[in-house]
Order: sequence, then C-alpha cells, then structure tokens
Amino acid sequence: MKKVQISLILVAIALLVVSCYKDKGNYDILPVHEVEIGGPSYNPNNYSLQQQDTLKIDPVYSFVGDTTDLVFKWYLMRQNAKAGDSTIRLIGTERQLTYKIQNPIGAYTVQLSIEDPINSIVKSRIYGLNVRLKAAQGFLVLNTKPDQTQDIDVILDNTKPDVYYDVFSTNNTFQLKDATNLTMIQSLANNIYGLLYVFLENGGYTLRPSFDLLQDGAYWFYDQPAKIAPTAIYQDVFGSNTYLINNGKIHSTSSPNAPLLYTYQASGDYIAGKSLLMGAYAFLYDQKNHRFVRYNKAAGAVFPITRNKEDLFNVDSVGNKDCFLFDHTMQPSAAPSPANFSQLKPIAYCKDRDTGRVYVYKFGFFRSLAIYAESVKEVTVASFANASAYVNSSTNPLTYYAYENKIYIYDFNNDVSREVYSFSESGISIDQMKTNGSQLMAAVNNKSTSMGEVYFFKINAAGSIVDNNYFSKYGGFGKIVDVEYKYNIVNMMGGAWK
Amino acid sequence: MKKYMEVVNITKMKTLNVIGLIVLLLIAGACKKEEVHYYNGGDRIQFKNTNPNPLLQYVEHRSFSFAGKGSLKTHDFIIPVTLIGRTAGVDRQVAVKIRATETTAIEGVDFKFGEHVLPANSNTGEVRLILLNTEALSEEMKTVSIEIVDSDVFKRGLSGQLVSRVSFYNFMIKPIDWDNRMATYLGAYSKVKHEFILNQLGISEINFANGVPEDKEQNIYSGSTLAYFQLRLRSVLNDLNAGVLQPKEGDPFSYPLIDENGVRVVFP
Repeated sequence: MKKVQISLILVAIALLVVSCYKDKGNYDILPVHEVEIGGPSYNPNNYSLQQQDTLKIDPVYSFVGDTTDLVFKWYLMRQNAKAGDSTIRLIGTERQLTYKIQNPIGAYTVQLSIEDPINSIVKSRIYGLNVRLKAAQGFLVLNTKPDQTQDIDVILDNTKPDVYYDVFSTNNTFQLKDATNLTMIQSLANNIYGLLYVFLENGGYTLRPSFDLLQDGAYWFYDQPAKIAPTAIYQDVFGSNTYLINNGKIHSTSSPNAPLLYTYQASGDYIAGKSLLMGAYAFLYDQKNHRFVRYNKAAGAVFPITRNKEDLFNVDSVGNKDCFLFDHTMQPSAAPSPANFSQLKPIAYCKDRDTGRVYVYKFGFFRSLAIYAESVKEVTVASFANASAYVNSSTNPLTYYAYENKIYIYDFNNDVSREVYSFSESGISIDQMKTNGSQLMAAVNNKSTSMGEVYFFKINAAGSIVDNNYFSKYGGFGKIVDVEYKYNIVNMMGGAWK
Repeated sequence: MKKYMEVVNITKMKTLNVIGLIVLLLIAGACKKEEVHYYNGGDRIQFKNTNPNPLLQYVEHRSFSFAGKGSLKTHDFIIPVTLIGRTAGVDRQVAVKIRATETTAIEGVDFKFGEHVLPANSNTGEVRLILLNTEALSEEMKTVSIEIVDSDVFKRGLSGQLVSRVSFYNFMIKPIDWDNRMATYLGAYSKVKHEFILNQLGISEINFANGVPEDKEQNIYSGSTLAYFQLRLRSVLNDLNAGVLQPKEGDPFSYPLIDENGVRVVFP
C-alpha cells in the first residue's frame, strides 16, 4: 500500500517536471531561415528629435535567404498605445525608414516588423522616439489657406530661412476656423512658458506652449457670458493685472494663475472698443457714448476719467467717432510710474463716422499718475485715414502706417509724414505691422491670390528703414490674419513686439 | 515500542495520502477553464448621485426655496434616476412610494407627482415632483420623502440611493456664517439683499463652507466662490440701479434696490 502511494506521488511529480520540458521531437524537419533583428536595445530615447526633423533608421538584421522577399513595415504609435489603437500609423515599408516627424510632442514607439512571406515568419523590434517641440519661440503666423481652413505657421528665426508650417494642425485633431487673433500670455505667476490665446469670431481656445488645445473659450469665464467674442487679453509680466475684453465688456480675474479664469463683466454704461491696457491702468474707448473711460478693478466698474482743468479736450465726449488705434510710443510692457510718467503719452487715433476725418488724441500723466487730456489734433496727411495697418513706434513719437503698397511714418507731434518703403508689387494689401523698436514686420497679402508673405525690416534711430530694403522675407502662407511673437520663456528683457 | 512504530507509520502513510491527493487536485484544477459570467440580476433602478465631486456621496435630502423667485407658483423639482441593467426599447415607469413618516407635505395640496419614467434606450431618467407655492410655505417648510419600490420592470438598486427627501419653503433663513464669514464678500445682511442674491444666482440657499468642503449641490460655497459671487452681484446691481441693465421679466425687485430698513443695497 505504502509503495503504491509513493509511486503515485512520484508519477505526479514526474508529470509536473515533464510539463516544463521542451519537446525537441524527432521529426524529419529542416531549419527555416529565421530573421534576426539586432541593433540597440529599446530605450525611450533611442531617438530624440524635434518636430519637422526627419527620423532615419537603418535596421541591423540578418537573414539566411533571399532578402528581396522580405517585407518591411514601420509603425508609429504613442508609447502608451494598446493593440488595435486607431492612432497606430504605418509610416514606412522600405528597408530603411525615412520619416518626417509631424506629430504632437511626446513619447512614441517605432515598431519594425520584418516578414519572411515564404515561411510566414515575422520578427519585430521596437525603438523609443521622443518628439520635442520645434516652435518654442518665433513668429506665429495665423493664416487662412486656400481651402478656407486656418493654421498657424511659425517663422522660427527671422534671420534664418526655416518656417515650421501647420503647427496647429500637427498638434491638434481638429481644424482651426474663424480665428481672428493670437495673443501670448506669459507671466511669472505660474505661467513662464506661456499660453496662447486664439480668438475666434465666436469663441476661442487656449493652447499650451506646445500648441495643443488646453481649453475652450467657454472655460475662460467663471460665469460664461451669453456671447464669447473676445477682442483683447492682457496680463502683465508679474501677473498682477489681468484683463479680457469680450463682446464690448471688460473682465478681470481674482487669481493671477494660469489658465486665467475671468470674473463677471465690469459694470457701467459702455461698449469697450479699442483699449490701452498697461499694468494697473486700463483705459477704454467707449464706442457707445464716444468717450474715454477707465476700468477700476477694485470697484469692478468702468468710470469716466476724472476731468482736470488742464484738459484740452473733453474725454467724456469726443463726437461720433470710431477709434482704430489706442496705444503709446513705448515698449508694450510700459505702465505709468514715477520714472516714466512724463514720457508715457497714450495716443488714440479716432475717425469721424460722418466726415471720415481722423484726429489724434494725446494723453499725459501727472506726477500723481492721474491722467489728463493733453492735446487733440486733426491728422491732415493724405492717405492716413484710409490706411490698411497702423503701429506706433516703441522708441519715437511716430506711427507707422501702410497705404496700398507703401509704408509711411507719421509724426503726430508735427502732423507730417514720409514714405519709408515701397513694395515693387502692386495688388497687395499690407494688413498688419509690428515693431520691437529695432525692427519692423509687415504682413502682406496678395489681393488676387489671397496668399501672404511676411517681411522684416531693420529700422534706425530715426525710425527709417535701414538700406531701404527688407532683410528677410517669408512666404508659403495663406491669407495672413494675424502675427504674434512667442517667447519660449517669459520675456524680462524688453524689446518686445507690439 | 512496536505498537508506537506502527502508529508512526500509519501517521506517515496518511500524510503521504493527503499530499498525493493535493498534488492530483492541483494538476486537475490547473486544467479547468474559468467560466465568464455576465450580469443577470435583473434591471434595477436608483436615484442618481449627481454630485460632480465623486468623493462626495449621494445627497438624500435636497431643498428648494420659492423665496426670491417673485410670483413663481410652481416648480418642477427633478430627481434623476439611473439604471443598473439593460436599456429597453420602451419607456418604463419608475415605481415610488411616499414615506409617510418623513413627509409633511400633502399630495395634491402641496405637491403633485409629475412623470417618473426611464425613457426608452436610456439608462437615466427622472422622477418629477411638482412643488406648489402655497401660502403655508411662507411660514412652514414642507417635506416630501419618496422611496423607490420594486415593480414588474425594476427592482430596487443601490441600497444607499433609494430614498430622496425634498424640502421646500418660501422664506429665508439668515445663514449662520453671514456676519462672521460671508459679510466680507456680501456686506451687511438684509432680507432684501438675501432675496436678491438667491434670485440672481438661481439658488435656493447660500451657505459658507465653514470647515467643510465646498458642496454646490448643497448650496455650500467656499470663500473663492463667494468672491466670484460678490463681483457678479455687485456688477449686476450697479447696472440695474443705473438702468444700464433692464430687469428680466418676472424680476420681483424695483431699482435702485432698497432693503426693508430703507437702506440702499450694496455689495462691498
């Protein structure tokens, strides 16, 4: 009995052991020509490349047989992709992979499979790919393509030829449409890399620095307004002052941290048009009552600007006019302070709705930093009233304006202008200009083809264009809607574009 | 001694038997295919936990105030329900009963039942209570407590989500934290201001989250939320007082807004 039991246990143990033993068999078989793939072992950073770079992989493999029969397939997938993921893409079928990276930033896996179709044997190997951001800094060109879709193309450095096209569509899964404006918001308040705000005709988006969608415009507001139609957004470099003008009303935030969450609109009888937002000061042109007003954040209300006996025009009533530019002639970060109150001169260009005549309204600051109405003059220079683009100099009391295919400088103190550049092409429209004090940018659209180009000029101390010519030019854009400069980190050095 | 050895041998033999049996069972068990089961517990229904914060549990007791709602005569109070089980191609009634011991409102006098149905091809539905704004509500809070019961189409769902109590009234109670916490955002208390707040924000109560998490379902708000309310209320009241904003239809107030003490209502 005992022997039987011990035998049974031994048999059971033997079965268990045998189950782990590989059966080599003794059949009449021939070895197949197996594919062996060598090369470096997997590492998430086998390849670390920027968007738009070209990924090249020359695989190391061995095969005893006719290699011309082998079938190569290269797949690209997110590192965390599961089998059957619809985003897995076949990116190559050649022995050597050559692939231009047009994918959102992040970690990817590249999989090579080599199939021997005769024996139906497939061997695979994976490689890690880290896709880094290409356009951390540069000129963001919002433009409408011929098929009426929009995209953001980036001029990476205006002294080099590189343009990174289709940045928005590369980093998002939806099309951009009806966008009107790009504004970068960067501050030391938890937002040093910045967020890009895209204004739409009805709505908006917040994009991360990598251009992928962070939030819809509906999430800009604690109490979502009836209509989202943003026209200006602002945060100073310290994050202390934030403003958003939406559908004619101004909003602020109670926290400086990004992404900004705006509170209820400021009260008051006004429709905010052009605005001058600088630090704690927010001046608005009230399109409803044709007056200049000031937003008081603490009170959550818009108030008339306090009248002074020194005022040389009535800030409460400037007549039936539309203001098309409200700015000063200093750096865009300028705000009234004891150090600059005598130099900082806000000016507003306003056009009479009935006569079409343009007037320049100039403001000043007292030592107390209270504002006063310094002067008003008519602009008598021909073509100024009908210009297609305007920008104030950030170093001189001058305003650049464009009319047809020419760029002019207007000296508002002396009411004189001079031509500084003429494009050789006619049939163009200079639809936007920006300056950083030492350079001038012009966004030029061809009226017949609706294709756009961006020109960069150097400007001298007097504001004129150096060598009477541009130093770089970029094309390949659709109709340019807006150009914005993006820094890779909050700019504390000045020299910013406006 | 011989007898002792026999006992030891018998014990060893039994041990070997047991070990052998276990090994055989393990071998046999390793080959057994595990069956995959599917839910077969019938269709069950319960009240839905609508709290957006998943850490907060289902709220059994909710309230509604007619105060600050002007001439509102009735209010449809909707209690969402949710399904465990399979959807169906037809609407299905959700059976409820009134819990008499917790109910002070009288059906047909203080409230009526509206639809209580799970629509076809949906896994969520609602039980609708039509609350009636009676004169009694200005002095007394009414409560109706309902409970989901088994029916031909649904069994009862999660045990903690089978009861819903709704209290409704037409008067205001000054929040206990107003003077020491909420006044920072909302200023001095008055009945008119309280009514204006509830009317503008569309809520039945406003309370401060004093030592507890914010719970908007229960009308308990954090300081940062009250700060937003403050800005909105101040802006709206300024514009209503100035005539920039026209009162909405049914707005029970006249502007400039004066409280019951003859003092103009302001938010700091």
